[in-house]
Amino acid sequence: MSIVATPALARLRGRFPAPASTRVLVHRGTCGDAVDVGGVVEVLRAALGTRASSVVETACDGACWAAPAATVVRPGHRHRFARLDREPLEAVVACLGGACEDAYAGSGERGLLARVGHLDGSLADALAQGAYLALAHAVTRKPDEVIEAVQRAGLSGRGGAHFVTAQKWRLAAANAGPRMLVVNAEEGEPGVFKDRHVLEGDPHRLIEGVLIAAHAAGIARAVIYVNGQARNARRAVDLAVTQAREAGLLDGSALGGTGVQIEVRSGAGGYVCGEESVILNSIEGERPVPRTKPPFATDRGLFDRPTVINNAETLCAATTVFDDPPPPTKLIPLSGAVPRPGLYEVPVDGITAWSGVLAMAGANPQRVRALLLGGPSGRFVLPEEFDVPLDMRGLGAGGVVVLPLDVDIPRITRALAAYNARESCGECTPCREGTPRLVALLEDASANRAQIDALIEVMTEASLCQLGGLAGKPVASALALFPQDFEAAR
Amino acid sequence: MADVLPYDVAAPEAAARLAEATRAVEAHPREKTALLPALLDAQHVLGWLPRPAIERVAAWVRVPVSEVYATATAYSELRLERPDPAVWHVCTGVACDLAGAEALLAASPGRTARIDCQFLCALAPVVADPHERLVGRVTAEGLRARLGAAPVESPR
Repeated sequence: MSIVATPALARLRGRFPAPASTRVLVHRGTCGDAVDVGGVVEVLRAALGTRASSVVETACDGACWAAPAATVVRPGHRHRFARLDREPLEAVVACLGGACEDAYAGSGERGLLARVGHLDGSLADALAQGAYLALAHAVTRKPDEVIEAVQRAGLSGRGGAHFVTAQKWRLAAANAGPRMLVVNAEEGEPGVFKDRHVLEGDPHRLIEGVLIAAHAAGIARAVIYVNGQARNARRAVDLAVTQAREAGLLDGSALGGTGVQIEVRSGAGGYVCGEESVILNSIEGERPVPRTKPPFATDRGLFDRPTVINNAETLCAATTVFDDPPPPTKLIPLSGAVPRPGLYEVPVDGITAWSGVLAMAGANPQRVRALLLGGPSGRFVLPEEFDVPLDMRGLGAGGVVVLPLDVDIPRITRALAAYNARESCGECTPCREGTPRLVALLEDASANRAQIDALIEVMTEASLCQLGGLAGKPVASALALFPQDFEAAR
Repeated sequence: MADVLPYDVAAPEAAARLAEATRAVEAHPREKTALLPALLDAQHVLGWLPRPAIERVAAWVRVPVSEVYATATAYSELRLERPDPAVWHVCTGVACDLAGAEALLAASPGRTARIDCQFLCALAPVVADPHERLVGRVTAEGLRARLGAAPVESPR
């Protein structure tokens, strides 16, 4: 970003001591803890002796495959050491002393991910690495101008629906206040772990996005709704909200802007909670079922107030829209049969295609049967499509599982259908009755093909929300692309 | 509420825990919007939501017990039955399935159960211990070793 710090931001930064420029970041967090990184930290501290204080525990930086991992940071220099359960720690110690080259490979672009896994958890560190620069800039502009900048950058919903963010903000702003903002960080789609990484590793990115939206759309109160299992993300956001409040960022006293109240909440599971109106019911203490639309949330949402509901990634991306923004990026949580599964930030620039994403993850496309894109609401992507440039509209929430050549497609298809049937909330008939019936028909998909097609049409057209609306999508995709697999499975 | 197991509030430890859960519930505002946060806090203390906990939440947020129950049953992470402290959960999401979740289930019958995606897909296969701590890149031998080493705690 070419914009420079405003005097107010410079004053805020000046209130904190500068963080150390040389340190060893141990990527702890949910990924590291799942592979006993704690043991590595102890051994590393012992090996570093007098320099043990340079060890900083931080979150996973998106290179989940590398866990347990550490990154040595010296001025102008970064080097990630992967799989420290298998690799010797001496190289880390030597690197801190200057004996290694700059090497920080395998995570693609780092826009939204720039600070993820590189922060010590303090506001000072976040500020030193560029947090609140976009907000400082935004509050010097009128709300309309901020919305205009968001529009020019082409920002759209990153949760999958791809709605134009500027338009959503305008629709809510046109209604009388007080206006609400609900941050959808429920992220309950199997295979998706993007928002929790960003929240856990750089929660101030989200809060900055919330404050930019609050300024632009005149928001009085924001609720950040975090997935119930993402406990580390919740803790990180709670801490960051407290830090931001104490620094005067929420009441506008530090950088300007109108004050906003931020509340953080946890979900309790349920794929249907990704549907935005379900989150409104959940926050109000109602049963987590979808609402009929209209009224739209921007007119009557949370507690009947005009409400903007944005995905966490959308608000994070709102921090990157000022001045000459780079091409938009999409966070792609990628898992399955690849050497380097993890969270990738991919430019959606009309050039980058799946082949490029697979190359970053170390995959050989010759050994990939297909991608599963979007999990239980998604579709399969064949190798023929791997060189087609990515289009934001086709990416959904971004979750990708790479399927190997020997994958059992009917088995995966049945598992996805069964998941949707379990997660159906029961509020509307097409989904409540349709999802289990689809599972039953998949027992012999070849013989039941006509019934399956008819059922999917009803579920797609008549379901109240996208859980039922998209439940047939992976089934239809599998049957269209792999009919021989279902025939062979009879 | 036939599927809600009896909960002996007279047992000294259970009574103390329920009192603690009640304090957590009553730290919330007495508004319907506090329903889910109160249920989550009660479960955090008790490990699950026995009927007395549901009743405490209902009384506090002034919502009928039946409605609290209807809401609680709608969330997959709220437990209306006492969890088995001996059972580890094996993630059966697509990435974990590809990485051998079925072999993990087969390797430790009786001590493992299925669970949906735990969102740690890049470290598949994944299991969750009885305290919901996630372990990644699990092998059948590794899981058996962990199960053997983990003492089974007495139920709450």
